Amino acid sequence: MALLSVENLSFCYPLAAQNAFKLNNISFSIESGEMLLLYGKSGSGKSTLLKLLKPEISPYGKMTGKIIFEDKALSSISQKESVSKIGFVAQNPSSSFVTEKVITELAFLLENLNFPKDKILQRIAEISVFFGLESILDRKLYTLSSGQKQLVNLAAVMVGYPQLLLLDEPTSRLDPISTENFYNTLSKIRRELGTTIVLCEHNIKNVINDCDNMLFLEEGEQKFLLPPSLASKRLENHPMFLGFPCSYRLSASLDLSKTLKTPSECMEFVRKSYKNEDISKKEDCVSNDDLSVAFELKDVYFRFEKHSRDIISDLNFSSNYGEVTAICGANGTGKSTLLNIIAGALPSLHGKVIIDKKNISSYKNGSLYRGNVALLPQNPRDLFTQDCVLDDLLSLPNYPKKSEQEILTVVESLGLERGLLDLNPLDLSEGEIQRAALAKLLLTNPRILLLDEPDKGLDCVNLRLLSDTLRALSSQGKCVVLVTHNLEFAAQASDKIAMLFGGRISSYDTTRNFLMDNFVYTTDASRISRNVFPCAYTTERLIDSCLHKMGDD
Amino acid sequence: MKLLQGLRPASFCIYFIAVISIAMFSISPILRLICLAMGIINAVFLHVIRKPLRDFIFYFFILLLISFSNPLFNTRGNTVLFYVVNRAYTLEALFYGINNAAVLLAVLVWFRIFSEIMTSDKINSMLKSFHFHSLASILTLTLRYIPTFKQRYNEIHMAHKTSGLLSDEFILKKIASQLRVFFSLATYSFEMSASTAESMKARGYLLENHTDINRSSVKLSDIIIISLTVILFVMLYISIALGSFNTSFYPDISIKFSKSCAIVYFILCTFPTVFQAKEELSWRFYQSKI
Repeated sequence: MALLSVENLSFCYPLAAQNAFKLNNISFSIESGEMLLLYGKSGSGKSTLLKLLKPEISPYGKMTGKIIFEDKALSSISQKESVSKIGFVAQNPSSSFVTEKVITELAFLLENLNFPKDKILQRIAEISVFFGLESILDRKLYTLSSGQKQLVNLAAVMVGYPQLLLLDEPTSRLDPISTENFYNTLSKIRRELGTTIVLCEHNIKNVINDCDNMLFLEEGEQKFLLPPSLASKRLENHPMFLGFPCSYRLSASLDLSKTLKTPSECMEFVRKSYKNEDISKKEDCVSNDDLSVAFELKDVYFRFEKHSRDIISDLNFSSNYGEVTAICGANGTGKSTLLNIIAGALPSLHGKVIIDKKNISSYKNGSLYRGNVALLPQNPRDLFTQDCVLDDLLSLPNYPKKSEQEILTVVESLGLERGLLDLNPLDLSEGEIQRAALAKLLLTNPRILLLDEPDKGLDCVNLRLLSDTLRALSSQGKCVVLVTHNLEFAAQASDKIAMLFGGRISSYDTTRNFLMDNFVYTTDASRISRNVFPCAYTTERLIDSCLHKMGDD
Repeated sequence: MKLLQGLRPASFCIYFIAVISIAMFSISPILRLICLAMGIINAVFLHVIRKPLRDFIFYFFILLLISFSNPLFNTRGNTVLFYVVNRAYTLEALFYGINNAAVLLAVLVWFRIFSEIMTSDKINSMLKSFHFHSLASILTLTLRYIPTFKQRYNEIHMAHKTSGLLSDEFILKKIASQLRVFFSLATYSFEMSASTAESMKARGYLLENHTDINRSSVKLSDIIIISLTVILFVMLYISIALGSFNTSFYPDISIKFSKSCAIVYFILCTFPTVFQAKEELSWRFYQSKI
């Protein structure tokens, strides 16, 4: 007996045009204890489908078809039942929180279900041990890291022991370590509690091997419902295949009968199939003669409070025009702080910050941000204040007014459709708002462009588009510096990678040398091709090398 | 402060309202002085005031400001000290100012004690027990949002600065820049509130009959504090109603007070110190046995 079954589900929003269905004819069923992964481009209807499965937060609109939960129509089950049996974990933990402390957040669901006080405390005790939250029960929620917040969010829903757990891109704002931690906990929930899970995710590396089925959605339509190994074969030539892990893409390209699921399986396959080569010779650094220095940081120190530890300490760093540099490092190492120092938003306590051969303090009255430096923040929506994107781009304060034609040229070069400019900034998707924010910054003609974690929340197609855009900007002579946790994205987009550790740049080299030298801060392709292929640090290069070698053989 | 923090929120609220209302609604300087002095003693004894010098300088400044500014607005009174811009600066008005300053400082100090003992969880719990669920939720969500608000303001301000949206040329442009930051923050807040509402609905907020894990049972200390507060308050109320503390400042100062009732008020104000002293003694006693 299926726990959940959806039959011919279609949905459209109230003010949408006649045939503009957000979801069209979706049908699937899940058995108890299974995990279903919803995959598709941004805007394909994944979040809408998830919300329709939770009656309390179902969007208002016209719905046809059936949703059957435990042999009853979802619309007929009582509110108490649906609250206790179906749990929903949203993308942004900070906005999901209701109370001040961890313990009261965990108690919230059970208080609403009118459980007796003793039972609530018993459940909290169990759940806090299961999730490892005992030491932070009395902490205020705003003091937690984003990884801890999302775990508390999950625990606050799991405290009701729901039968069906729905997750809407739960790790889109988390760093890789917190993401792995989150999915390990989710795995544990499934193994030990037998909870049925439906989740949608862009970064599927950590979850694809655990899920039973993958439902692929494109523009609201269900294309297929298959186990991951078969799904990867179906999606082989589709742009969304870029989001699959390296092992799946390698198996599909080499047409292997058994899909390789983990990097270690790939390593074994590659080592057995191809001859070892000495790859210790490093690639020569690109000569700096043609490229002039865009900015330089010399012996820079920074801390927020007088008696706190130095976040940036004795840091030396520079980058050239015409280059894309990625900065990576663990959470809390000061990458965003470093970008803000380069952008002049934070002062350097000692040392010098030199922008375009001039000391940063010599730029007065905001001239630093007119044609010199621009920083794209982590939340690009923060840059928009008008009701319409076009109005926002037309009314740049502190700059001469730009004509609509100039704006359209910049917008088109970033791959943003003209129609999106008439919308409210809040209605654009993550990828679209980011490109709009980039357009806004580019209208100020900066020579140095800094981006703070631009890859957060983007699907693989948008990530590829972003890396192409950044490469194009650097070929126009701009200096581009980005902070990212996503080494796969850094491998695509950047010429050089720097690692921040202990307040200073601990390593700074070309992308190839950096990735082939490291074991943790590197791509799956680099790990797989170690000692076999000297330059295969991205999945495309690895696939090319394997096919090339097969051709030779 | 564990004994005081262990009281039911309603008990401490009743006590606090009793103490403050006597000082606020009776203009007797004797009662107000007792309230202020005991407030400071309680605050120091309970370690609520941790940097006495800094706080006392601040309180002294407030005292001076309010006391010495009252006669500038109020020229009533018979004893003229000097003239300021043809307006009489009278002694009676100065004493009236000092009297008002004293009650303001007393309220400030007692509120500090109140906020240390009554956390937002307790206020929330108290409102829920009186079936003001919506008010309790609004209070919790607002208090919870304050640190996020400050953090987001800094982030948005930095984002606007580094994208050249902030202006520091003319005052009007500066104000316009700050308004832009504020509108961005307001938009973020509205978006966030929609997500929070969704999260609350998803976890059954709209169901009827909620439990409250912060509700504690009535203890002996609750009964003692409520009964003593009520008895002493009624005695003082009767005394004030009968005119034992009648005070007038204009045209001449006349202060009446009843020694016994002043002592009653003094005893009422010592409760926090007494509770804390009892806790300290009990702890020393237990410590000697561990």
